[in-house]
Amino acid sequence: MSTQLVSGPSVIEWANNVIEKDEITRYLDDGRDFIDDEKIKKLLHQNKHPTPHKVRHIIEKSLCIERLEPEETAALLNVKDRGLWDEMFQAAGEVKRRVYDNRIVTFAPLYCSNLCVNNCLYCGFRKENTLVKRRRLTLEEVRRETEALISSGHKRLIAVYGEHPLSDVNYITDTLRTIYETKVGNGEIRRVNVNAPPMSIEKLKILKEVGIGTFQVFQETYHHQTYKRVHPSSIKSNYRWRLYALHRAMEAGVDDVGIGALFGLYDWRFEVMGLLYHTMSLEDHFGVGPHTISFPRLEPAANTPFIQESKYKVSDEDFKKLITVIRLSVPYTGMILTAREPPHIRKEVIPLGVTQTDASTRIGIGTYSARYPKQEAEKQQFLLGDTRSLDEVIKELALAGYITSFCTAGYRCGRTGKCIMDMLKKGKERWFCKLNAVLTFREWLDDFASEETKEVGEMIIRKEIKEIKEKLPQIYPKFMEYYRRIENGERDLFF
Amino acid sequence: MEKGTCFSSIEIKKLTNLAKLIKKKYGVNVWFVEILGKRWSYVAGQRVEDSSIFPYECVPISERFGVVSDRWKQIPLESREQIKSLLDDMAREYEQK
Repeated sequence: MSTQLVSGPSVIEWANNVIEKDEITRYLDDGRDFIDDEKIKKLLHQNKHPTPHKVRHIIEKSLCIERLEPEETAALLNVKDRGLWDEMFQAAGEVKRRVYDNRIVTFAPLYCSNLCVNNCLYCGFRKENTLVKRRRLTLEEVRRETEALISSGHKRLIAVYGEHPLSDVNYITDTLRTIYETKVGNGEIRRVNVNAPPMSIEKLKILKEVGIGTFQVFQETYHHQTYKRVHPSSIKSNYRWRLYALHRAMEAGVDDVGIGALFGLYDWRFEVMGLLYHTMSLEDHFGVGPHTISFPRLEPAANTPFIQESKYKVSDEDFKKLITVIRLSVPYTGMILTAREPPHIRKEVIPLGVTQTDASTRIGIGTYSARYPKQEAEKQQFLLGDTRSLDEVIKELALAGYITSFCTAGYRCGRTGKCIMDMLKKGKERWFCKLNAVLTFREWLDDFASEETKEVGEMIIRKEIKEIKEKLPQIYPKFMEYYRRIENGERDLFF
Repeated sequence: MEKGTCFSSIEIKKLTNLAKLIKKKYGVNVWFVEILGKRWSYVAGQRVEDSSIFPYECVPISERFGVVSDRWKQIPLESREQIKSLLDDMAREYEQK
């Protein structure tokens, strides 16, 4: 049954018809894609010994919220001096504050289906993994999962899908509509981002109509040969179909897209360069780069020995470095850290420029409403490092001086795509971030917080309000009007 | 490369100029959006250097199109109606495509 579901004749026929060759070739430059493996290796080699003066000059450029050039990123990736790294860690945090203020946006992933035609060596959901229990949520189950997430205080989700005819664009749009329609009292999900397989422009136009947040497709590895090795068959074995997934999304009118690499498949320095080139290609073609960059590390998964055998696994120290260099290289883009990482690592790397993170995360299919107490490898794509509740994560963030934001204002009032990216680059959006963070945090504290978290949260709110009064005196009266209205029970007021 | 908005490049230019005119005449920032469920997707209008920090009013014009503005009601009613009428025309053209 399970084997038929992932590799029966009708499934194979479907998979053979997904890729539109013209929707790859139209973006190529003289038949070449934008990742030149040899050039990246050469740049990394040529910038092997950057002088402290050069490194500091590059840091200054990042602090001016300018994207770095590949040779500059290559230089940062080659820094050896501990003191210079400390300067870069500091600068990465400062860049984030200048663009996004001190807020962290939280979300939860919602895995809707683990049916998949692909056979990625590192993935617990690969089709040849017979240990995994295959399941696709019904719309009623999606509603129940959404209710559970709303009840814990979430306002943002990322819906996740495998590549399969039973979870095609029609299923995706049905589930997204269900999520948006679900209400629990006054609570609702206000923004759904989507992590789904690459699609044709025609299908992306269908997806766009539902009103999604960000559309994510991760390249996993930018290194051509490694990509071929770890994606041995089916649709995902086509490197370029995946590489241009977000170009097609932009062309279809989905103007907020998210890129990412799975660190641990190949050399981490190469992957950071790949993310930069991906950013540059989107900017060249469409005038706007990615809305977010994700940087997950390989994690153990059921019956997946590849992960233990990989020689490119990224150490904690190198993980800090790669986050820092991504932050400095693309200063204005959102950066997503996930619950793959254990609490102590999350605490350590958030100050390096992270803008979003998940909490109360469950990645099994149907596991939010089942309220299951522990992780079960055969139901999950991989094992999580952090399963703490939203309340616990928020308390820790607040103790570290961060305000958790549930803001979804931008995409509901036209601050999308190039518009929001320009505002981020000019340092304008941070003020919206601050105001909306306080308003949405007030809502959450009143509706969902434990007494302990509320106490810590109140301290952060008082500090933020003081800063708003000092830095934005002209808007302060209006802000306080909104704040009082929220205290009195109104919801969803934003700037 | 043309992005997949429902507006043509000529219409986008027209909307950009209209936003500039409104700014010049009434000192009001507006931008035009395509409504996709909860998402109000930017199409044309006010640029970042003009933007003020203010609660923005989201005004649906049709099922498909809307205007976002910092001081929408400062635009005289008659002009607001003209803007709505222009967008209505565009919406009708879009429906016929």
